[in-house]
Amino acid sequence: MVNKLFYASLACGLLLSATSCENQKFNDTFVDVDRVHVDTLSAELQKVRDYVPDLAVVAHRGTTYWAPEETEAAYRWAREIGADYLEADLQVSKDGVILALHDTDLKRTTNIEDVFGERFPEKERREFYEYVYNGKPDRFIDSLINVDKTAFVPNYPCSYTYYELLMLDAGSWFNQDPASAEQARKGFTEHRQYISTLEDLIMYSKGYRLARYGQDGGNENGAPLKYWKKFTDESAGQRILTGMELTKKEITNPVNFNLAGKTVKDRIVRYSFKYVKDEHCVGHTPGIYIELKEPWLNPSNFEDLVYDELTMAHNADFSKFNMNILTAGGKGTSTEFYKNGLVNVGNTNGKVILQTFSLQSLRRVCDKFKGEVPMCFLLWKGTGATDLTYDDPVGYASFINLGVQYKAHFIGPCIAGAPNNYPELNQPWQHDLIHRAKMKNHPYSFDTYDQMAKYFGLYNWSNNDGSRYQAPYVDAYFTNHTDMSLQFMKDHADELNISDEMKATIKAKVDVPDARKLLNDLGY
Amino acid sequence: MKHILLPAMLVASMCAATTVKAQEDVNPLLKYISKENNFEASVGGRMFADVAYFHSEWTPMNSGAAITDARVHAALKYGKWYLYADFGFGFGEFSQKNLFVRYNFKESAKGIHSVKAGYYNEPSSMSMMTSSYNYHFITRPTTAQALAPGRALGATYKFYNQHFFADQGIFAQLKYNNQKEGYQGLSLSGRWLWKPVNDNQVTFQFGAGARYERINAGEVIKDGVYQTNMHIASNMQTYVDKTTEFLSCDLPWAKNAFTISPEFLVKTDRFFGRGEFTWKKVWKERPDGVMFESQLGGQQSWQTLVSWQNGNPLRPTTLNGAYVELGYLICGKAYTYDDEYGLLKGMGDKNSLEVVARYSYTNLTDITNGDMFLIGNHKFYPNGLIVDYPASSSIDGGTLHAVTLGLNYSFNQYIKLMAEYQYSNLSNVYFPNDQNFNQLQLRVAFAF
Repeated sequence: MVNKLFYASLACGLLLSATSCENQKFNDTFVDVDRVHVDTLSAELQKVRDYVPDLAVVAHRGTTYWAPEETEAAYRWAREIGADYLEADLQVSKDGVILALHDTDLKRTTNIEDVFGERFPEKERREFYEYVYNGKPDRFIDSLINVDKTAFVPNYPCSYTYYELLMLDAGSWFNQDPASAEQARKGFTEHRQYISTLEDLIMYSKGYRLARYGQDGGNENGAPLKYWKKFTDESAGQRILTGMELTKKEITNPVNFNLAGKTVKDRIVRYSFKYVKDEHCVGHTPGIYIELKEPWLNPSNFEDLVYDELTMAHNADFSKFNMNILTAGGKGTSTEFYKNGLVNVGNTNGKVILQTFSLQSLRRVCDKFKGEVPMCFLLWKGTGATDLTYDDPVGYASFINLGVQYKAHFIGPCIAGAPNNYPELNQPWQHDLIHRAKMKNHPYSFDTYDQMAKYFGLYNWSNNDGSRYQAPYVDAYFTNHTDMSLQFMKDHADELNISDEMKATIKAKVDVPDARKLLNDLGY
Repeated sequence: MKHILLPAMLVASMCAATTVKAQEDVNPLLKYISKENNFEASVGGRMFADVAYFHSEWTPMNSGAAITDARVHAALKYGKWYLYADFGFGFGEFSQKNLFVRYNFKESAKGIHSVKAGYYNEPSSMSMMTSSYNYHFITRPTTAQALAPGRALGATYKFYNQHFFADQGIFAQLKYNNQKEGYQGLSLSGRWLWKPVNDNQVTFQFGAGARYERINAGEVIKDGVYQTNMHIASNMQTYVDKTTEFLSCDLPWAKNAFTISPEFLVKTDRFFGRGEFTWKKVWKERPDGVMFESQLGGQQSWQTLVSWQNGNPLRPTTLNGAYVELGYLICGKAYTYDDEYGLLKGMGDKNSLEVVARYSYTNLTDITNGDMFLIGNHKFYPNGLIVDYPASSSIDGGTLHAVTLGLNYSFNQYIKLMAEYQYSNLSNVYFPNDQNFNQLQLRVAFAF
C-alpha cells in the first residue's frame, strides 16, 4: 500500500511537470494586448472626434526645420505649404498674454541674453506700469516693482510682460544655430520675428500676417507709440501696436511661487495689434492645434483664459474669427475639410484641437471644455511628472483609459527614429489599442521619409507582427516637414491601406509648393 | 517529593533529547559517540524535491519541478558545548545556512540556561524557528516569510523549562553583509512563551516574539544623499517559482522598525493548532534639508523647506499578517513537542498520515485613504485627483489571502511525501489583473 502510494505520487509529479510546459514569460506583449481592457469613447465623444479629418497633417510649431519655430515665418510657411493644422505650445506672459512658445527658458529661441541678460528689467517694467497704471503715484509703482523683483526668475517667460517680450528677437537665433545653419535666411532677421501670441496664431491661420510700421502704415491710434519707440530708434518693420489696456481680469502668475506661499495676482493687459491680409495666401484655412502645458507653468485659470481668447471677442474686427465652437458664432461654417484642393479645416468644427501632456491639464480641460472640443492626450515615455513610464499593454491601456475618462478624443504618442530619436510609443499594437478605445492616433513628430514609410506601412514593421495590425499606424500626425509629409501621401496614396475616398481626397489637394521657393516668395 | 521529581525528570528528558537532536531534522544516521570523552559527532543531510503546477489569471507562474533544498550538516557535542553547521545546495547554488556554537552554562531542575552565538535564526517567530523538514506544510506562510526575520549573525541567551521559554539576543539587521553601501544595522529580538499546560499528551502555549531593527544599509542616490531601504517580500508559498513580485515592497528611508508577533500553540496526540499574528511598523528618516537645498536653483524649484516636504511626504508604514495552521494525525503514534525550541516537531513516525489546513494573510499594503493608483506610471494620486505632482506616501506590496489543504505521509523519519492544494487571492495595484491563483504541489523529502 505504502509503496503504491509512493509510486503514484511520483507519477503524478512527473505528469504535472509534463503538462506545465507552457509559455512562462512574465510579461508577454502579444498575449497581454489582446486581453487588456480599454475603456471606449461614448458615441457623443466619437462625434467630436470626427470633427477632425483623417490623416490630417499637423505643422509642428509651424516648422522646426525650415524656419524659426512658432514665429510668423514658420506659421505662414506652414499655412501656405498646405498643413491642416498649425501647432503651438501655450504659455503666458506676466501680464496675461497667451504666448505660442515652447521652451520655458527664453535663451534658446530668443536673444534675451543680449537684451536683458539675467537682470530684472526694471526700467522697462517701470515704463510699462507707468503707462498701464496711468496716474497712479510713484509709491504704487514702486510697490509693484518690489514684488516683481522678489518673484523674478531670469529667462522664465512668465517673469516678463509681453511689452518686454516684444523687445526680443525670436528669429536670429535660427540663423546662428549650427543645427539650422543650412536653412538660415536673412529674412528671419530683417523681418523681425516675435514671440507669437495665441491671437497671432489664429490670425495666421486665417490668412493674415503682422502689420508692420512703414510697410503697412503707422500708428493710427497714437498713444502707445511713444513707449514702443523707447526701445528702438527705428520702428520701421516692427509690428504695429495700437493699444495696451489694463483689464480687470487677474491671473495668479506661476512665477509667484517664488514668493514662498504668498499669492500675488497680476492684472491682465490687453494688447491691440494690427494685422493685414497676407498677399501670399493662396486660400488655405488650417485649424490650430494648441498645447496646454503643465498647469504649474501657467496660471490656475489658464484654461479659462484660453477659452476666452479663442472667441476673439476682445476686438470687434476679429470676432468673425471666433475659434471657440462652444460659443455663439464659433461653430464651423462648413463641414468640408477641403475645398477645391485647399485646406478648409479652419472653417469646420474641427478648427481647434487642444492637446496636453499634463495629467492635471487633461482633467482641467475636461472640466472646462467637457469633451466638446477635440482634445489630444500626448504621451511621452520617461519618469517625469507627466510621463508614461511602463509602456507594456497594461500600463499603456491605463493612460488610454485616463484619456477616455477625461474626454480626450486622441492619443498622441511619440515615435522613434532619427533625428530626434524619441522613445517609441507608437508600435502597431499600441495603435490598435488606441483604436479599440474608439480614439484616434495622432503621433509626433515626423522628420524623415523613413518615418513616414515606416508608420504608413510601406516598410514591414517587423518579422513578428508586421501583418498582425493594419497600417497606417497614424490617423493624423505632427510633422516638422509638412512639405515632405504631404508629398509622401500624394506620391504613395495608391499604396496606402486607406479608403478610396481618402485616396481621392489626398490626390485632389493642390500641389505642394517647394519649401525653399515658398520661403523666398514669403519674403524671407 | 513528587513535586521535585517530576520537573527534574522532564528536564532530564529534555536534556537527553537535545544532546542528540538539537535542531537536527532527524536522528542522524552517521554518528560517532565517545561516552568516555563525553563527545559526539554526527553528519547528516536532507533534500526536498518539489513539483508544482500553477494556474494564474494573467501573469504566468513557472510550473515545473525543482530540487528546492539540499543540505549537508555536521554537529559536534563536547560536554556542555554544541557546535552545528549546515550548508545548502538547493537549485544548484551553494548557500550558507546555520553556523553556531552553544553553551549550556546552567542545567538544573528549574530549567536550562544557555548562550549561543553565530549565524542562525533570530528568535522572534514560531514559524521561522521551525525547521523546514519539520514543517507540516511545504512552505512557511507568507506572513512569516515577509515579516519575520531569518538567519543573521548574532548572540542569544535562552532559558527554558516545562512552563516557560525565553530566548533573546542581538543580531546584525541584515541576513548577509551584502548591502551596496553603508553597514549592517542591528536588531534586538526575542521570543517569550508561557505553557500553562505541557505534558506528554497535551501542550498549550502562548506568548509573543518581538524585534527592534535599526536599519543602516542603503546607497548614495545623488548629491551625496545616503538612502536607507528596507525590502520586504515573500514568495507565493512555493519554492518552485520563487518569484516575490506579487508580494513585495521597498520602504525607502526606513530607519527604525518594530515587529511584534503574538502566537499560540495547542497540541494533543492527534491534533495541533497554531497561529501567529505579526504587526510591523517602520519609521523613516530622510535628510530633508540636504535634499531641499540640492534642488534649489531651478526655474521650478521648491522655494521653502515646508513646501518641499509637503510635496514629498514621508510617513511611517504599517504592515501586518497572520496565519492559523491545523493538523490532524490520521495514522501514526502522536504529535510531539520540542521544549528546547517551544515548537511542534515534525511528523516522523513510521507510516504516519496527517491532513493539514492553513489560512494565511499578509498585508503589505499601506495606502492612504482615497489614493488612486495609476499603473502606467506607478504613482498614487491622493483623493483620486489626477495631478502632475501627486504627493502621496502610500505603499502597496500586495495583500494575499491563502488557503492551503495538505496531506502528508511519512514512511519513517527519513522519508516523507507531502501534497498540497492552495488557493490564493491577491490584491496588488501593480498586478490588477492577477487576483486568483491555484497551485498544486508535491514534495518528496529525504533526511539522513
